[in-house]
Amino acid sequence: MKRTCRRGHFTLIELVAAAAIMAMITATIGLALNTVYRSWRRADAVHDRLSERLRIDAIADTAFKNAVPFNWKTPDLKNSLIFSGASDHLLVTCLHRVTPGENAGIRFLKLYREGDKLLASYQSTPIMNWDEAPGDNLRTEVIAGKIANISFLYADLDQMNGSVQLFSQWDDSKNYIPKGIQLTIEWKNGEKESWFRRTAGNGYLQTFSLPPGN
Amino acid sequence: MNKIKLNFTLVEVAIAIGILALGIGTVMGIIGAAKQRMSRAESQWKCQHALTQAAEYLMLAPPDTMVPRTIFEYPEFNLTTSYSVPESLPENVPANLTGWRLAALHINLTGKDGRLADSIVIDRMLQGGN
Repeated sequence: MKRTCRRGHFTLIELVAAAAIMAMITATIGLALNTVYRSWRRADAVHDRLSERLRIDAIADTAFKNAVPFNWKTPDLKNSLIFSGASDHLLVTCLHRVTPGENAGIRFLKLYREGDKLLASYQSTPIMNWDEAPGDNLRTEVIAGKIANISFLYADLDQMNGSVQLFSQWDDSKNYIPKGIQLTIEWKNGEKESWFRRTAGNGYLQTFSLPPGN
Repeated sequence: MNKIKLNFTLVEVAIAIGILALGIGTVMGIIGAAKQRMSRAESQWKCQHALTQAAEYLMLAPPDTMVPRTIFEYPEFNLTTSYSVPESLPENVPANLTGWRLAALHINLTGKDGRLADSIVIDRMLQGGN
């Protein structure tokens, strides 16, 4: 008896139907995975953005808020403030509570833009704006990236009525530091954010300087 | 002789697809929730940051000062400030001493819909006035 076995063979219609089902399943899975990927990318972008903002918060809350006047001798032996407030960079002296034993409780910080990055350079010995040579213990950190521009504003109080005045550049002839400092960052994607903080140590008894004769 | 079964039945394939769909659905749910939490955290940071900007400026300036746009550049928020006598002041302490008085500065941040987004009360010393 001749036996016909159809199993193991597929008709064209069966193949087309199977291929269509497979394509549909693949497309559905692909779409779902793509949605998952895009959601993850968005969540990751928000996380990165928030982390960056928090890093700048930390700089503003530690360096700006704890900024103090600090005097040092220039090469011609004149007392000069270790402070430089330009529109595009800031050199400031600030009190620093958490510090390893060999470092003092004062930190010297320079904030500036290099390329598309906001950099912070720290040193435990004075960063002198009249001396371009960096110290041995200079450390530099990247605070934020993809930056288009940074700018600073410096606040002072009007002697007559006490109102706040904002300057884009701090006058070096003033023998005190600004009452407030604002950092504004513009990112390449068009976002813009500002950080304004009052400074500390502007009082008569809070000025750090070398004793007379040194 | 037993034949080894190499084919899947329709039920087996359906179950496999169901498990896959469940897995993808779970991952999508987790990532969606994470995204929502991150967005909420960013929104909270934005409110706190805007409030801090205003508070830092107002604490430096004389009372009744408006915060300029160079400091407070948030069109999505409205800022209102007011002063009151601090509640924590002990009864036997005079409110006004040698020309200085302690006042509570209230800073409220509201959204464009009028709902309070965040607020802060800071005690500060003021010279003169009532």
